[in-house]
Amino acid sequence: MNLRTPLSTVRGLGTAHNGVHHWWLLRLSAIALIPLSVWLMVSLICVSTADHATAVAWLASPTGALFAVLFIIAATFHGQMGLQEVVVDYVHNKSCKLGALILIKLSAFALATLCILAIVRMSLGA
Amino acid sequence: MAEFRLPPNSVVRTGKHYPAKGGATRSKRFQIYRWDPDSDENPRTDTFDLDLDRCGPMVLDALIKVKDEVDSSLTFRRSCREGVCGSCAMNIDGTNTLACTQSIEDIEGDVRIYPLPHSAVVKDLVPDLNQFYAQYAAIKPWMKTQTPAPPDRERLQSKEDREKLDGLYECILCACCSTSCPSYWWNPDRYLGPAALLQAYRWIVDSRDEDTGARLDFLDDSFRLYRCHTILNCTRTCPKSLNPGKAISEIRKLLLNRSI
Repeated sequence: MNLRTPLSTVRGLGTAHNGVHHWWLLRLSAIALIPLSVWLMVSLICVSTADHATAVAWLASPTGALFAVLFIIAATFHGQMGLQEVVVDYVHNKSCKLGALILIKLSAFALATLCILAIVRMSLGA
Repeated sequence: MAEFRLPPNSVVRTGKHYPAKGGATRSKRFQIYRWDPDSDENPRTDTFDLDLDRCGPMVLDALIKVKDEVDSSLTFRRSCREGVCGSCAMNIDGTNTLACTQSIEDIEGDVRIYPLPHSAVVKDLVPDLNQFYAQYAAIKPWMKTQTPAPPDRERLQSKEDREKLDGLYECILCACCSTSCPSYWWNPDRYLGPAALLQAYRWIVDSRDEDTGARLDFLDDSFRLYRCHTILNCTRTCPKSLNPGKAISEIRKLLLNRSI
């Protein structure tokens, strides 16, 4: 039986003071993704008809590597924050929510590291 | 997880059918949600055929006619019958609105009437709004000042500052917007909902109030304010044509302005 007043339930544990920060970073990464996505699409269309060596040379060039790394950072960062929103909206079991958030954050970090390492290897000509 | 299906004892069954009384030339069919907490039965939709020639023009008139002449156990809230009190908010023809300002003629086909969505039902068309009112209370809907009011007059406000309250003070707290919001459906315990947030902004933007910072602090929370994903069901459904979605965006802008 719940004998707490409705107001006590609404006030709950108080303010987390994290809302505007998360919202701002999500919007900031979205803005960054606009030019980066255009660059990626144009580049992919250009190299789609070329051979393997040209594609590697494109990614290994300083500009190509720079924009590719920027895209990966922005996309994985934005993606994990967006997925966090989805989990927070729909998953209400505390353990499931925590598990999903850990999985999303660590997977995004691992994915970004993997992609960046691959680009660094190509840039260094390994 | 968020609940997408009704529990078995909430599945709505087909109920009784009450045909129109003899000689009806302009008959309209009303399907009304019924649930009685004192019986163990599932909710049901009863069908009432009413003669529009012997009924007032609004959906509330039809409900009152049913209660007076057909089934006196039909339960719903109503008071002012002119869109000022917000008591008769319900889901009519798939949209939350006030039964007293919704014209029957504007509805094509059968008139389907349900209680406000995703709220606990007390009986028939009466939803439990205790939490909704607590959320309103939580935003402290009164003027908070440190400076005492002048002894000989009221607190003054310029015309421009007063105009900022237009579109905010008209809210009648009918709960149509909050109960139409999917974010509010999934997190009603932690998300304040569009109605409470519109009221929060009404006090944040009031030039006479001196507690703006504390009010913004209260809202800077990933649940209380930021569950809003600008779905805008609130703005579409508001029977007073207000825009809670815009008020929420304005609060976000203020929070951003003070943090960057």
